[in-house]
Amino acid sequence: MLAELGLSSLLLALAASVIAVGAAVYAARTDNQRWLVSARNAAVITFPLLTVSTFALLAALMTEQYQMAYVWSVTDLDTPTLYRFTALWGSQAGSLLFWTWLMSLFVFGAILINWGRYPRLMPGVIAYTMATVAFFIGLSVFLENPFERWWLDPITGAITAAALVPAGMVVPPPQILAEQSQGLNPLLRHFGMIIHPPMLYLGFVGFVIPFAFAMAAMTSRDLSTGWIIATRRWSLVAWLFLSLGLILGGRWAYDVLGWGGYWGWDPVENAAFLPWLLGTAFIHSVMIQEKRGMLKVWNLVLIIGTFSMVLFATFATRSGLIESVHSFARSEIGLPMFLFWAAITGVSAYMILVRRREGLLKDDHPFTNILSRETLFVLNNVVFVALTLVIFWGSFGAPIISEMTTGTEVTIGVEYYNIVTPPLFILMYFLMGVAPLSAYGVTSLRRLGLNILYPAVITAFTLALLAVTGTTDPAALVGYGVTFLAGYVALWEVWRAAQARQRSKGESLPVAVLALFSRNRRRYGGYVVHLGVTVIGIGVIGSTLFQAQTERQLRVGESLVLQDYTLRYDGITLATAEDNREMTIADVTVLRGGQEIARLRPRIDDFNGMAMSIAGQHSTIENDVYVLLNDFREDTQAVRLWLYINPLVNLIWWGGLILIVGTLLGSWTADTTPQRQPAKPVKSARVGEGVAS
Amino acid sequence: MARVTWEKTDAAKDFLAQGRQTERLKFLVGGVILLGLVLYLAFSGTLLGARFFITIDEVLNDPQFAGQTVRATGVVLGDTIVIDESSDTTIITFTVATFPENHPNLAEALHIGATDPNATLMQVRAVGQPKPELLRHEAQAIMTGTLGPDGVFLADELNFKCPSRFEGDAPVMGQQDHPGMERLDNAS
Repeated sequence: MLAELGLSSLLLALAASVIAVGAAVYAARTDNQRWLVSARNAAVITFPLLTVSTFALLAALMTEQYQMAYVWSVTDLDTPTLYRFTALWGSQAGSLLFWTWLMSLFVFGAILINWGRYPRLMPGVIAYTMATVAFFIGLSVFLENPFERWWLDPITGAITAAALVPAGMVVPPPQILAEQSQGLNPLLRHFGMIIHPPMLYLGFVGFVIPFAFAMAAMTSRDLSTGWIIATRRWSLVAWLFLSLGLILGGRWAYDVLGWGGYWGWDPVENAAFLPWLLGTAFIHSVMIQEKRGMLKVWNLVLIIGTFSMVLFATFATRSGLIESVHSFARSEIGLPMFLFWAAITGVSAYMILVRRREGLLKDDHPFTNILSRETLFVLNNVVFVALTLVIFWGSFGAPIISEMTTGTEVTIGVEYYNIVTPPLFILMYFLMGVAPLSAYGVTSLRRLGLNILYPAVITAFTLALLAVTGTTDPAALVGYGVTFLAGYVALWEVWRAAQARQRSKGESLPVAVLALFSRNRRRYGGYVVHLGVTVIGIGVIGSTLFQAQTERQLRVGESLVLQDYTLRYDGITLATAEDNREMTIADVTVLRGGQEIARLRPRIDDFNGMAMSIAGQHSTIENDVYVLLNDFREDTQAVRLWLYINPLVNLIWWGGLILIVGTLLGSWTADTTPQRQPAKPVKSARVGEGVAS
Repeated sequence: MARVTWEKTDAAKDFLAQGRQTERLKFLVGGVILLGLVLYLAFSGTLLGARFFITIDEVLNDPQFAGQTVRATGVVLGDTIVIDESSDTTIITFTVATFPENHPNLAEALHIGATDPNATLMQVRAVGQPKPELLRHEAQAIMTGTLGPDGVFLADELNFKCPSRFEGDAPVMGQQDHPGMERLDNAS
């Protein structure tokens, strides 16, 4: 029943999305408002239909409908309720449906909110968003259907999965299906996996809205700043979720993958990072278009590039192109996804070229000064794009080109990223510090120097302090230098503005700061984001350059020493968890200066032959004492423990939190809706019929 | 009242145009420097980070890969695994056999590789790495490292892959689970 319900809703959603695209295109070509209303209605109904499908699958997971092949493959009789829920995105078919459902949610919201405000853009917005939604529903229906069920051929005993009942086949015995059900991949049985994929998906799918508005602006030739104003919050929301997804992904890797790190430059990790980089460039450069009417082509390139990277990341993760801990198994959706990505990217690039040739994308002002804010913003954008290109090259470009030209596969190791990315990140942090101090139009070097003087002095003082206390590594000092500078500039800007308010309005400092944040949340929210990125940067530098590690086999009562920490092995506990995994838990005590500071329980979880090391961690702002149980010998009760000291690693998570707060502040701005757009002159006699607002 | 207008003189126009040209030149020079930096970084990084993903036979026999850090894959032979944990540093040694290429089923490919009497064998040694959870007989080893002069592959990085029960299979029905099979067996 649930399979039939989910499948029929999915088919109806596919029909509705195709109708929405067709009606929107027809409405745009004929200026017929009734067709546009039809397009809107078809687009809006897609979300409830996909909701029915998604919840039907969720209900099937919760109620153990093992005849459904998806439920059978991602849950078993021992799966706890929480992981039955997360199993919704535990494998390709369910995750694809979940992804499409989230995308339809964004489209639903964007159409309803913007319907009356941007009537000229609506046909294009509906056409581009719903074409994307229709494509993904099509993948779910035809290639990765989560509502397929197992069917038994009573003659041969063969079992096949099919969405509709194949002729002559019967339902297999339920108890056999239940007993053989596979269960969720152990790597996904972690708290981080409850939140990380949805956040990442929300970030990915959210960029469909600014992309569609940009394409709609080009299609309608309405290339004023309307599309940028319309999509500012959508872009920030998508960026926020993508940031959250990346941070949580790092945390999951740190907790579950058992190698003491959080970012391994894995191609699939990188694939998710690429749209973030371009999206970050976009949310900065749109400010220049809003304020100065510049960078019109550049902004289109960035948002189209961002969405193109979203599609590419999805293709890379889901097609089996790259084997990774993050990727799904090899799938037939690879070719259609590649073609869709190529088509979207190609059409978008062509549209930009055409509109540019028509002279519709001319900037209102030329670049006049190399130190102006717009120039520094562009420079920072160029750094983001350069990072995107070099990471893309290392992850996909070099391996693919090598295979095509030499026939030998090449993989690019972490050494590549360690050489290529640090100089660009240093430049990025430096510009992050300098650009906010520059003015639009013209800035002299002297004025910029005066503005940066105090933050630079405080940075120099901080570096001197670090050097005196033992941080003498030049790479670390350069890294800390630019990172602290960016953070101090953010704080300095808030301080300076608050001081000015105190002088002019007689307000106290807290009141002045509050007033600043309430009056210009976008600007000051941005500074909070910069502060968050600074804190993340400090954490990354500390944990990368100063990680210490040792290993040793220990018998009960023996100790392991690293820096001023001592790890004492107290004994072993063997246990079976509720979900039947066998746990081998080492009881260890962490001492510092002879004083006990923590008791940790690193463990190995054995899921019927598939083992995972779960670290024991003692976390402070200063560092993480991270302990892995690598081996246990039953005969001697000895264990092999790996001990890592990861300095400042927790700043990465705290910085992420600050970044989220800043983004929420920045996107919570006063309504900047432009005056209602005049509707385009309509050729049809049925002007204005049925237009809702 | 007279209307006041202000027009730029030719000299002022020339001055502005000259200024713009200078700025344009600065942009151009800056752009070229940045592009050069990025290209240099990408090129030097690729040279250092690129690892040819080759077979065991190529590691052992192809002179172009001698002394190079490469990535290779093979099938682990279980009875050769030795993990020496007596010292402060774990030393892992094992032997791998050629991994059959282009086989659609991982479990079958691994079994074929492990039982092929004509397969090329290579000894692998890894020092100071955690004992991999998946190091076992008929696991696929993906190793990054260099072939030593003694013919032993010194692995800096070890990854293992085993056929997972969490991927891909379909349920299997025994005879007792479906009457049709029973009938067919009786008939034959």
